[in-house]
Amino acid sequence: MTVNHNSGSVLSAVGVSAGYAAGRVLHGISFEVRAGDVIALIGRNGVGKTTLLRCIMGLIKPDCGRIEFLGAPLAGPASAIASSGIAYVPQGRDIFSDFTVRENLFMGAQRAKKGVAAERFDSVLEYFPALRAHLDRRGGVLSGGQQQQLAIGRALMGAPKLLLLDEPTEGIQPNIVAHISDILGRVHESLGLPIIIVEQNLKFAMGRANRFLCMQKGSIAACGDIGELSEDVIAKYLRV
Amino acid sequence: MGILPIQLMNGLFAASTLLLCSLGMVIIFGNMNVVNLAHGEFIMVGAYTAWFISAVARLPFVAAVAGAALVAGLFGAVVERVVIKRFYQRFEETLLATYAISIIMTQIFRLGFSSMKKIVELPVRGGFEIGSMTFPKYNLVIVAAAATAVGFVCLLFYKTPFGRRVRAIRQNRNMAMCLGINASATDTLSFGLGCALAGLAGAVTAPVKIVFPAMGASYLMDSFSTVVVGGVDSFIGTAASSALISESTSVLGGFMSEVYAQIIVLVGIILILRFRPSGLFAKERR
Ligand SMILES: Nc1ncnc2c1ncn2[C@@H]1O[C@H](COP(=O)(O)OP(=O)(O)O)[C@@H](O)[C@H]1O
Ligand SMILES: [Mg+2]
Repeated sequence: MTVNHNSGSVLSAVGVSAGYAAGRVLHGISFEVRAGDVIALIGRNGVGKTTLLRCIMGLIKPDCGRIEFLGAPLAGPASAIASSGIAYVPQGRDIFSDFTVRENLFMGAQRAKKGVAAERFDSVLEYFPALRAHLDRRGGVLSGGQQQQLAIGRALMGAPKLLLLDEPTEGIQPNIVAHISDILGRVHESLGLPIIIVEQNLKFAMGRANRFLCMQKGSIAACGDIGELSEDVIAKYLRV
Repeated sequence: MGILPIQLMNGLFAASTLLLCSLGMVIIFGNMNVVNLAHGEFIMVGAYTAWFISAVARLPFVAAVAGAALVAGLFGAVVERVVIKRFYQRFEETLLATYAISIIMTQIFRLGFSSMKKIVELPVRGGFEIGSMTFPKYNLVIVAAAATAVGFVCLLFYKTPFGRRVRAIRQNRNMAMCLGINASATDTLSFGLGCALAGLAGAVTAPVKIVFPAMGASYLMDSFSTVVVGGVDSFIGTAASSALISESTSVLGGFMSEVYAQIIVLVGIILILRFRPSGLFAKERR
Protein backbone atom coordinates (compact mmCIF):
# COMPACT_ATOMS: atom_id res chain seq x y z
CA MET A 1 0.00 0.00 0.00
CA THR A 2 2.94 2.32 0.32
CA VAL A 3 5.88 3.83 -1.42
CA ASN A 4 8.63 1.67 0.01
CA HIS A 5 7.58 -1.90 -0.67
CA ASN A 6 11.00 -3.47 -0.43
CA SER A 7 12.57 -1.41 2.27
CA GLY A 8 13.16 -2.88 5.69
CA SER A 9 11.42 -2.18 8.95
CA VAL A 10 13.01 0.49 11.09
CA LEU A 11 10.61 0.49 14.01
CA SER A 12 7.69 -1.75 14.74
CA ALA A 13 5.24 -1.58 17.60
CA VAL A 14 2.90 -4.45 18.35
CA GLY A 15 0.05 -4.15 20.83
CA VAL A 16 1.71 -1.46 22.94
CA SER A 17 -0.27 -0.31 25.96
CA ALA A 18 1.14 2.24 28.38
CA GLY A 19 0.18 5.06 30.68
CA TYR A 20 0.82 6.87 33.91
CA ALA A 21 -0.02 6.12 37.52
CA ALA A 22 -3.28 7.99 36.94
CA GLY A 23 -4.39 5.58 34.24
CA ARG A 24 -3.69 3.89 30.95
CA VAL A 25 -3.33 6.22 27.99
CA LEU A 26 -2.27 3.97 25.09
CA HIS A 27 -4.37 0.92 24.26
CA GLY A 28 -2.84 -1.72 22.01
CA ILE A 29 -0.96 0.48 19.54
CA SER A 30 0.54 -1.26 16.50
CA PHE A 31 2.33 0.35 13.60
CA GLU A 32 5.49 0.16 11.56
CA VAL A 33 8.07 2.69 10.39
CA ARG A 34 9.97 1.64 7.26
CA ALA A 35 13.16 3.00 5.82
CA GLY A 36 12.51 6.29 4.10
CA ASP A 37 9.24 6.97 5.90
CA VAL A 38 8.15 10.34 7.17
CA ILE A 39 5.12 9.59 9.29
CA ALA A 40 2.69 12.24 10.42
CA LEU A 41 1.25 11.26 13.80
CA ILE A 42 -1.94 13.25 14.13
CA GLY A 43 -4.96 13.46 16.38
CA ARG A 44 -6.67 15.86 18.76
CA ASN A 45 -5.09 17.15 21.95
CA GLY A 46 -4.82 14.55 24.68
CA VAL A 47 -5.21 11.42 22.54
CA GLY A 48 -1.76 10.18 23.56
CA LYS A 49 0.64 11.25 20.79
CA THR A 50 3.26 12.59 23.18
CA THR A 51 2.80 9.55 25.42
CA LEU A 52 3.49 7.27 22.44
CA LEU A 53 6.76 9.08 21.66
CA ARG A 54 7.76 8.99 25.34
CA CYS A 55 7.05 5.30 25.34
CA ILE A 56 9.24 4.66 22.28
CA MET A 57 11.95 6.73 23.96
CA GLY A 58 11.82 4.62 27.12
CA LEU A 59 10.69 7.48 29.36
CA ILE A 60 7.66 5.40 30.27
CA LYS A 61 7.56 1.62 30.17
CA PRO A 62 4.83 -0.16 28.22
CA ASP A 63 2.51 -2.30 30.37
CA CYS A 64 2.36 -4.78 27.52
CA GLY A 65 3.25 -5.07 23.88
CA ARG A 66 6.56 -4.99 22.05
CA ILE A 67 8.59 -2.35 20.28
CA GLU A 68 11.44 -3.37 17.99
CA PHE A 69 14.02 -1.05 16.50
CA LEU A 70 16.17 -2.30 13.61
CA GLY A 71 15.29 -5.87 14.46
CA ALA A 72 16.15 -5.75 18.17
CA PRO A 73 13.71 -5.22 21.03
CA LEU A 74 13.84 -1.71 22.48
CA ALA A 75 14.69 -1.99 26.14
CA GLY A 76 16.46 -0.24 28.94
CA PRO A 77 16.45 3.36 30.08
CA ALA A 78 16.11 6.31 27.70
CA SER A 79 19.89 6.65 27.56
CA ALA A 80 20.24 3.15 26.09
CA ILE A 81 17.48 3.78 23.57
CA ALA A 82 19.09 7.07 22.54
CA SER A 83 22.41 5.27 22.13
CA SER A 84 20.79 2.71 19.87
CA GLY A 85 20.01 5.53 17.42
CA ILE A 86 16.69 7.21 18.20
CA ALA A 87 16.72 10.99 18.64
CA TYR A 88 13.88 12.87 20.30
CA VAL A 89 12.82 16.49 20.01
CA PRO A 90 10.21 16.81 22.75
CA GLN A 91 7.19 19.07 22.83
CA GLY A 92 8.49 22.23 24.49
CA ARG A 93 11.97 21.52 23.09
CA ASP A 94 13.75 21.07 26.45
CA ILE A 95 16.82 23.11 25.63
CA PHE A 96 19.38 23.21 28.47
CA SER A 97 18.82 26.84 29.33
CA ASP A 98 22.08 27.30 31.32
CA PHE A 99 24.19 25.92 28.48
CA THR A 100 25.29 27.92 25.48
CA VAL A 101 23.96 27.07 22.04
CA ARG A 102 27.28 25.41 21.25
CA GLU A 103 27.20 23.33 24.45
CA ASN A 104 23.59 22.35 23.76
CA LEU A 105 24.56 21.09 20.31
CA PHE A 106 27.52 19.09 21.57
CA MET A 107 25.34 17.52 24.27
CA GLY A 108 23.64 15.76 21.36
CA ALA A 109 26.85 13.99 20.34
CA GLN A 110 27.48 11.96 23.50
CA ARG A 111 28.84 8.90 21.76
CA ALA A 112 30.84 10.60 19.02
CA LYS A 113 34.59 11.13 18.99
CA LYS A 114 35.73 14.75 19.08
CA GLY A 115 36.53 15.02 15.38
CA VAL A 116 33.29 13.37 14.29
CA ALA A 117 31.29 15.64 16.59
CA ALA A 118 33.04 18.69 15.12
CA GLU A 119 32.13 17.59 11.60
CA ARG A 120 28.50 17.10 12.58
CA PHE A 121 28.53 20.48 14.27
CA ASP A 122 29.57 22.09 10.96
CA SER A 123 26.87 20.33 8.98
CA VAL A 124 24.17 21.14 11.55
CA LEU A 125 25.15 24.81 11.28
CA GLU A 126 24.79 24.52 7.51
CA TYR A 127 21.22 23.36 8.02
CA PHE A 128 20.55 26.03 10.64
CA PRO A 129 22.75 29.03 9.82
CA ALA A 130 20.53 31.19 12.05
CA LEU A 131 22.17 29.52 15.08
CA ARG A 132 25.63 30.65 14.04
CA ALA A 133 25.24 34.15 15.43
CA HIS A 134 24.13 32.79 18.82
CA LEU A 135 26.67 30.04 19.50
CA ASP A 136 27.94 31.60 22.72
CA ARG A 137 24.59 32.76 24.07
CA ARG A 138 22.70 30.76 26.65
CA GLY A 139 20.03 28.49 25.20
CA GLY A 140 17.44 29.91 27.57
CA VAL A 141 17.50 33.37 26.00
CA LEU A 142 16.74 32.24 22.44
CA SER A 143 13.36 32.77 20.80
CA GLY A 144 10.98 29.85 20.37
CA GLY A 145 11.90 29.40 16.72
CA GLN A 146 15.63 29.47 17.47
CA GLN A 147 15.15 26.97 20.28
CA GLN A 148 13.26 24.66 17.96
CA GLN A 149 16.06 24.81 15.42
CA LEU A 150 18.55 24.20 18.21
CA ALA A 151 16.58 21.20 19.47
CA ILE A 152 16.45 19.65 16.00
CA GLY A 153 20.12 20.43 15.47
CA ARG A 154 20.98 18.83 18.82
CA ALA A 155 19.04 15.72 17.78
CA LEU A 156 20.93 15.55 14.48
CA MET A 157 24.28 15.81 16.32
CA GLY A 158 23.73 12.20 17.42
CA ALA A 159 23.53 11.00 13.77
CA PRO A 160 20.27 9.19 14.58
CA LYS A 161 18.66 6.39 12.58
CA LEU A 162 15.18 7.54 13.54
CA LEU A 163 14.01 11.03 14.49
CA LEU A 164 10.99 11.72 16.71
CA LEU A 165 9.58 15.25 16.56
CA ASP A 166 6.79 16.37 18.88
CA GLU A 167 4.91 19.40 17.55
CA PRO A 168 7.90 21.20 16.05
CA THR A 169 5.77 24.09 14.82
CA GLU A 170 3.93 24.78 18.08
CA GLY A 171 4.09 28.48 18.91
CA ILE A 172 6.45 29.35 16.07
CA GLN A 173 6.16 32.13 13.50
CA PRO A 174 4.99 31.04 10.00
CA ASN A 175 8.23 31.99 8.22
CA ILE A 176 10.28 29.87 10.65
CA VAL A 177 7.79 27.01 10.23
CA ALA A 178 8.42 27.11 6.49
CA HIS A 179 12.15 27.14 7.09
CA ILE A 180 11.99 24.17 9.48
CA SER A 181 9.82 22.25 7.02
CA ASP A 182 12.41 22.97 4.37
CA ILE A 183 15.29 21.75 6.53
CA LEU A 184 13.46 18.59 7.51
CA GLY A 185 12.90 17.89 3.83
CA ARG A 186 16.61 18.36 3.10
CA VAL A 187 17.67 16.25 6.09
CA HIS A 188 15.29 13.50 5.10
CA GLU A 189 16.48 13.52 1.51
CA SER A 190 20.21 13.74 2.10
CA LEU A 191 20.37 11.34 5.05
CA GLY A 192 17.36 9.18 4.21
CA LEU A 193 16.45 9.62 7.87
CA PRO A 194 13.08 8.15 8.86
CA ILE A 195 11.01 10.63 10.88
CA ILE A 196 7.88 10.52 13.01
CA ILE A 197 6.33 13.99 13.32
CA VAL A 198 3.53 14.73 15.75
CA GLU A 199 1.75 17.71 14.30
CA GLN A 200 -1.36 19.84 14.71
CA ASN A 201 -0.42 21.90 11.67
CA LEU A 202 -1.91 19.71 8.94
CA LYS A 203 -0.43 21.69 6.10
CA PHE A 204 3.04 21.23 7.56
CA ALA A 205 2.43 17.53 8.20
CA MET A 206 1.01 16.84 4.76
CA GLY A 207 3.81 18.75 3.10
CA ARG A 208 6.49 16.51 4.57
CA ALA A 209 4.96 13.11 5.29
CA ASN A 210 4.44 10.13 3.00
CA ARG A 211 2.22 8.33 5.50
CA PHE A 212 -0.04 9.23 8.39
CA LEU A 213 -1.14 7.63 11.66
CA CYS A 214 -4.23 9.10 13.18
CA MET A 215 -4.86 8.55 16.88
CA GLN A 216 -8.09 8.64 18.80
CA LYS A 217 -8.33 7.98 22.58
CA GLY A 218 -5.05 6.10 22.75
CA SER A 219 -5.58 3.89 19.71
CA ILE A 220 -4.70 4.14 16.04
CA ALA A 221 -7.99 5.09 14.41
CA ALA A 222 -6.77 5.43 10.83
CA CYS A 223 -3.56 5.12 8.88
CA GLY A 224 -2.33 5.03 5.32
CA ASP A 225 -0.54 6.95 2.59
CA ILE A 226 -0.71 10.67 3.03
CA GLY A 227 -2.80 10.85 -0.17
CA GLU A 228 -5.45 8.78 1.57
CA LEU A 229 -5.82 11.33 4.36
CA SER A 230 -9.31 12.27 3.32
CA GLU A 231 -11.54 15.13 4.31
CA ASP A 232 -13.67 12.51 6.12
CA VAL A 233 -10.78 11.38 8.30
CA ILE A 234 -9.85 14.96 9.05
CA ALA A 235 -13.40 15.85 9.96
CA LYS A 236 -13.87 12.77 12.10
CA TYR A 237 -10.58 12.72 14.04
CA LEU A 238 -9.10 16.18 13.89
CA ARG A 239 -11.73 18.93 13.81
CA VAL A 240 -12.63 20.07 17.25
CA MET B 1 50.89 44.56 64.75
CA GLY B 2 47.25 45.36 65.52
CA ILE B 3 44.63 42.79 66.30
CA LEU B 4 42.74 43.06 63.01
CA PRO B 5 45.39 41.50 60.71
CA ILE B 6 45.74 38.58 63.11
CA GLN B 7 41.99 38.04 63.14
CA LEU B 8 41.89 38.24 59.35
CA MET B 9 44.64 35.62 59.05
CA ASN B 10 42.89 33.31 61.48
CA GLY B 11 39.68 33.88 59.58
CA LEU B 12 41.41 32.82 56.37
CA PHE B 13 42.59 29.57 57.95
CA ALA B 14 39.14 28.86 59.36
CA ALA B 15 37.54 29.70 56.01
CA SER B 16 39.81 27.24 54.21
CA THR B 17 38.85 24.47 56.61
CA LEU B 18 35.17 25.29 56.28
CA LEU B 19 35.40 25.38 52.49
CA LEU B 20 37.23 22.05 52.28
CA CYS B 21 34.59 20.45 54.46
CA SER B 22 31.71 21.95 52.44
CA LEU B 23 32.76 21.24 48.84
CA GLY B 24 31.40 17.69 48.82
CA MET B 25 28.08 18.99 50.00
CA VAL B 26 27.88 21.45 47.10
CA ILE B 27 27.91 18.45 44.78
CA ILE B 28 25.66 16.13 46.78
CA PHE B 29 23.16 18.67 48.09
CA GLY B 30 23.51 21.43 45.51
CA ASN B 31 23.75 19.39 42.34
CA MET B 32 22.08 16.12 43.26
CA ASN B 33 19.46 17.44 45.68
CA VAL B 34 20.30 14.88 48.32
CA VAL B 35 20.46 16.02 51.96
CA ASN B 36 23.20 13.71 53.21
CA LEU B 37 23.07 13.64 56.99
CA ALA B 38 26.10 11.33 56.92
CA HIS B 39 28.28 14.07 55.37
CA GLY B 40 30.27 14.45 58.60
CA GLU B 41 30.76 10.69 58.84
CA PHE B 42 32.44 10.65 55.43
CA ILE B 43 34.78 13.32 56.79
CA MET B 44 35.33 11.01 59.77
CA VAL B 45 36.13 8.09 57.44
CA GLY B 46 38.70 10.30 55.72
CA ALA B 47 40.25 11.31 59.03
CA TYR B 48 40.51 7.69 60.20
CA THR B 49 41.95 6.57 56.88
CA ALA B 50 44.56 9.32 57.15
CA TRP B 51 45.35 8.25 60.70
CA PHE B 52 45.67 4.62 59.63
CA ILE B 53 47.91 5.35 56.66
CA SER B 54 50.16 7.84 58.44
CA ALA B 55 50.26 6.57 62.04
CA VAL B 56 49.79 2.81 61.62
CA ALA B 57 51.19 2.10 58.15
CA ARG B 58 53.71 4.94 58.55
CA LEU B 59 53.38 6.14 54.98
CA PRO B 60 53.85 9.77 53.95
CA PHE B 61 51.03 12.24 54.62
CA VAL B 62 50.38 12.75 50.89
CA ALA B 63 49.53 9.05 50.65
CA ALA B 64 47.25 9.47 53.66
CA VAL B 65 45.32 12.27 51.95
CA ALA B 66 45.02 10.43 48.64
CA GLY B 67 44.04 7.22 50.39
CA ALA B 68 41.41 9.03 52.47
CA ALA B 69 39.79 10.54 49.37
CA LEU B 70 39.86 7.17 47.63
CA VAL B 71 38.40 5.19 50.54
CA ALA B 72 35.67 7.74 51.28
CA GLY B 73 34.87 8.07 47.57
CA LEU B 74 34.59 4.33 46.94
CA PHE B 75 32.55 3.89 50.09
CA GLY B 76 30.28 6.75 48.96
CA ALA B 77 29.81 5.17 45.54
CA VAL B 78 28.78 1.90 47.16
CA VAL B 79 26.36 3.69 49.50
CA GLU B 80 24.82 5.45 46.48
CA ARG B 81 24.36 2.17 44.59
CA VAL B 82 22.93 0.30 47.55
CA VAL B 83 20.89 2.96 49.36
CA ILE B 84 20.70 6.50 48.00
CA LYS B 85 19.61 5.65 44.45
CA ARG B 86 16.38 4.16 45.78
CA PHE B 87 15.36 7.45 47.38
CA TYR B 88 16.00 10.21 44.82
CA GLN B 89 13.29 12.87 44.93
CA ARG B 90 11.97 11.36 48.19
CA PHE B 91 13.05 13.87 50.78
CA GLU B 92 11.90 12.26 54.04
CA GLU B 93 13.17 8.82 53.09
CA THR B 94 16.56 10.28 52.16
CA LEU B 95 16.81 12.01 55.53
CA LEU B 96 15.99 8.81 57.40
CA ALA B 97 18.30 6.68 55.28
CA THR B 98 21.30 8.99 55.54
CA TYR B 99 20.69 9.49 59.27
CA ALA B 100 20.74 5.72 59.69
CA ILE B 101 23.94 5.52 57.65
CA SER B 102 25.57 8.16 59.87
CA ILE B 103 24.71 6.21 63.03
CA ILE B 104 25.85 2.90 61.58
CA MET B 105 29.14 4.40 60.45
CA THR B 106 29.79 5.97 63.84
CA GLN B 107 29.03 2.70 65.64
CA ILE B 108 31.18 0.63 63.31
CA PHE B 109 34.14 2.90 63.97
CA ARG B 110 33.43 2.81 67.69
CA LEU B 111 33.50 -1.00 67.61
CA GLY B 112 36.51 -1.21 65.34
CA PHE B 113 38.71 1.51 66.81
CA SER B 114 37.14 2.26 70.25
CA SER B 115 36.00 5.75 71.22
CA MET B 116 39.57 6.76 71.98
CA LYS B 117 40.82 9.83 70.20
CA LYS B 118 43.39 9.25 67.49
CA ILE B 119 46.23 11.64 66.82
CA VAL B 120 47.48 12.42 63.35
CA GLU B 121 50.94 14.02 63.49
CA LEU B 122 51.43 17.36 61.78
CA PRO B 123 53.32 16.60 58.57
CA VAL B 124 54.67 20.15 58.48
CA ARG B 125 55.96 21.58 61.72
CA GLY B 126 57.02 25.00 62.83
CA GLY B 127 55.65 28.41 62.18
CA PHE B 128 55.99 31.35 59.88
CA GLU B 129 56.01 34.97 60.84
CA ILE B 130 54.06 37.91 59.61
CA GLY B 131 55.25 41.01 61.40
CA SER B 132 55.47 40.05 65.03
CA MET B 133 52.96 37.22 64.80
CA THR B 134 53.72 33.54 64.29
CA PHE B 135 51.25 31.19 62.62
CA PRO B 136 51.58 27.41 62.20
CA LYS B 137 53.04 26.51 58.81
CA TYR B 138 50.48 23.76 58.43
CA ASN B 139 47.76 26.43 58.10
CA LEU B 140 49.26 27.27 54.72
CA VAL B 141 48.83 23.63 53.68
CA ILE B 142 45.15 23.84 54.53
CA VAL B 143 44.75 27.07 52.54
CA ALA B 144 46.56 25.55 49.56
CA ALA B 145 44.51 22.35 49.77
CA ALA B 146 41.25 24.30 49.82
CA ALA B 147 42.29 26.49 46.88
CA THR B 148 43.42 23.45 44.90
CA ALA B 149 40.22 21.55 45.65
CA VAL B 150 38.02 24.46 44.54
CA GLY B 151 40.05 24.88 41.38
CA PHE B 152 39.81 21.17 40.69
CA VAL B 153 36.03 20.92 41.07
CA CYS B 154 35.46 24.10 39.04
CA LEU B 155 37.55 22.72 36.18
CA LEU B 156 35.87 19.35 36.47
CA PHE B 157 32.36 20.78 36.43
CA TYR B 158 32.81 23.51 33.86
CA LYS B 159 35.50 22.20 31.52
CA THR B 160 35.07 18.45 31.21
CA PRO B 161 32.46 16.21 29.57
CA PHE B 162 31.75 14.63 32.96
CA GLY B 163 30.95 18.03 34.47
CA ARG B 164 28.70 18.94 31.57
CA ARG B 165 26.84 15.66 31.99
CA VAL B 166 26.26 16.35 35.69
CA ARG B 167 25.01 19.86 34.91
CA ALA B 168 22.80 18.59 32.08
CA ILE B 169 21.20 16.05 34.40
CA ARG B 170 20.67 18.74 37.00
CA GLN B 171 18.88 20.95 34.48
CA ASN B 172 16.73 18.31 32.80
CA ARG B 173 17.24 14.70 33.74
CA ASN B 174 14.88 13.18 31.18
CA MET B 175 16.27 15.20 28.29
CA ALA B 176 19.82 14.37 29.34
CA MET B 177 18.92 10.68 29.23
CA CYS B 178 17.22 11.10 25.86
CA LEU B 179 20.55 12.32 24.52
CA GLY B 180 22.24 9.14 25.66
CA ILE B 181 23.64 10.24 29.03
CA ASN B 182 23.73 7.37 31.50
CA ALA B 183 22.19 9.26 34.39
CA SER B 184 22.45 6.58 37.04
CA ALA B 185 26.16 5.98 36.40
CA THR B 186 26.72 9.74 36.54
CA ASP B 187 24.83 9.87 39.86
CA THR B 188 27.07 7.20 41.35
CA LEU B 189 30.20 9.03 40.19
CA SER B 190 29.07 12.41 41.50
CA PHE B 191 27.99 11.02 44.85
CA GLY B 192 31.32 9.21 45.11
CA LEU B 193 33.13 12.42 44.18
CA GLY B 194 31.26 14.38 46.85
CA CYS B 195 32.22 11.76 49.44
CA ALA B 196 35.82 11.71 48.21
CA LEU B 197 36.00 15.46 48.81
CA ALA B 198 34.60 14.96 52.31
CA GLY B 199 37.24 12.28 52.91
CA LEU B 200 39.93 14.61 51.62
CA ALA B 201 38.74 17.31 54.02
CA GLY B 202 38.83 14.82 56.89
CA ALA B 203 42.42 13.87 56.08
CA VAL B 204 43.75 17.39 55.56
CA THR B 205 42.16 18.70 58.75
CA ALA B 206 42.93 15.59 60.84
CA PRO B 207 46.28 16.91 62.19
CA VAL B 208 44.57 20.00 63.64
CA LYS B 209 41.37 18.30 64.84
CA ILE B 210 40.58 15.43 67.13
CA VAL B 211 39.82 12.17 65.37
CA PHE B 212 37.10 10.10 67.06
CA PRO B 213 34.02 8.16 65.89
CA ALA B 214 31.40 10.85 66.66
CA MET B 215 33.43 13.74 65.22
CA GLY B 216 31.21 13.97 62.13
CA ALA B 217 28.25 15.62 63.85
CA SER B 218 30.07 18.90 64.39
CA TYR B 219 30.82 19.26 60.67
CA LEU B 220 27.29 18.77 59.39
CA MET B 221 25.64 22.03 60.44
CA ASP B 222 28.64 24.21 59.58
CA SER B 223 28.88 22.77 56.08
CA PHE B 224 25.16 22.94 55.60
CA SER B 225 24.82 26.61 56.51
CA THR B 226 27.88 27.52 54.42
CA VAL B 227 26.52 25.78 51.35
CA VAL B 228 23.06 27.27 51.75
CA VAL B 229 24.41 30.81 52.16
CA GLY B 230 26.66 30.22 49.14
CA GLY B 231 23.76 29.42 46.86
CA VAL B 232 23.70 25.61 47.19
CA ASP B 233 25.14 24.60 43.83
CA SER B 234 27.91 27.17 43.44
CA PHE B 235 31.54 26.35 44.27
CA ILE B 236 32.62 29.97 44.09
CA GLY B 237 29.58 31.01 46.12
CA THR B 238 30.52 28.48 48.78
CA ALA B 239 34.10 29.75 48.78
CA ALA B 240 32.79 33.26 49.30
CA SER B 241 30.37 32.26 52.03
CA SER B 242 33.12 30.29 53.81
CA ALA B 243 35.21 33.45 53.78
CA LEU B 244 32.32 35.62 54.90
CA ILE B 245 31.27 33.37 57.77
CA SER B 246 34.77 32.59 59.04
CA GLU B 247 36.16 36.09 58.67
CA SER B 248 33.24 37.73 60.43
CA THR B 249 33.36 35.18 63.25
CA SER B 250 37.09 35.67 63.60
CA VAL B 251 37.08 39.46 63.38
CA LEU B 252 34.14 39.84 65.75
CA GLY B 253 35.85 37.36 68.07
CA GLY B 254 38.69 39.85 68.43
CA PHE B 255 36.38 42.38 70.03
CA MET B 256 34.05 40.20 72.09
CA SER B 257 33.77 36.67 73.38
CA GLU B 258 33.80 33.87 70.80
CA VAL B 259 30.29 32.84 71.81
CA TYR B 260 28.81 36.27 71.08
CA ALA B 261 30.63 36.41 67.77
CA GLN B 262 29.14 33.08 66.76
CA ILE B 263 25.66 34.17 67.77
CA ILE B 264 25.95 37.38 65.73
CA VAL B 265 27.14 35.46 62.67
CA LEU B 266 24.32 32.96 63.05
CA VAL B 267 21.77 35.78 63.21
CA GLY B 268 23.44 37.24 60.13
CA ILE B 269 23.03 33.91 58.30
CA ILE B 270 19.36 33.79 59.25
CA LEU B 271 18.86 37.36 58.02
CA ILE B 272 20.61 36.61 54.73
CA LEU B 273 18.41 33.59 54.14
CA ARG B 274 15.34 35.60 55.14
CA PHE B 275 16.02 38.14 52.39
CA ARG B 276 17.82 35.89 49.89
CA PRO B 277 16.32 32.43 50.47
CA SER B 278 18.31 30.85 47.66
CA GLY B 279 21.60 32.14 49.01
CA LEU B 280 23.94 35.01 48.22
CA PHE B 281 25.29 33.58 45.00
CA ALA B 282 22.37 31.66 43.55
CA LYS B 283 21.99 31.89 39.82
CA GLU B 284 18.73 33.59 39.01
CA ARG B 285 16.48 30.84 37.65
CA ARG B 286 13.50 31.46 35.48
N1 LIG C 1 2.88 12.98 33.14
C1 LIG C 1 1.58 12.60 33.04
N2 LIG C 1 0.97 12.02 34.11
C2 LIG C 1 -0.31 11.63 34.04
N3 LIG C 1 -1.08 11.76 32.94
C3 LIG C 1 -0.54 12.33 31.86
C4 LIG C 1 0.83 12.77 31.84
N4 LIG C 1 1.09 13.28 30.63
C5 LIG C 1 -0.04 13.16 29.91
N5 LIG C 1 -1.03 12.59 30.64
C6 LIG C 1 -2.39 12.28 30.17
O1 LIG C 1 -2.27 11.38 29.10
C7 LIG C 1 -3.20 11.70 28.09
C8 LIG C 1 -2.49 11.85 26.77
O2 LIG C 1 -1.60 12.96 26.82
P1 LIG C 1 -0.57 13.29 25.68
O3 LIG C 1 0.15 12.04 25.34
O4 LIG C 1 0.24 14.43 26.14
O5 LIG C 1 -1.52 13.71 24.48
P2 LIG C 1 -1.20 14.49 23.14
O6 LIG C 1 0.27 14.61 22.99
O7 LIG C 1 -1.82 13.67 22.09
O8 LIG C 1 -1.86 15.82 23.25
C9 LIG C 1 -3.92 12.96 28.52
O9 LIG C 1 -5.18 12.61 29.03
C10 LIG C 1 -3.05 13.52 29.61
O10 LIG C 1 -3.82 14.17 30.58
MG1 LIG D 1 1.47 16.30 22.96
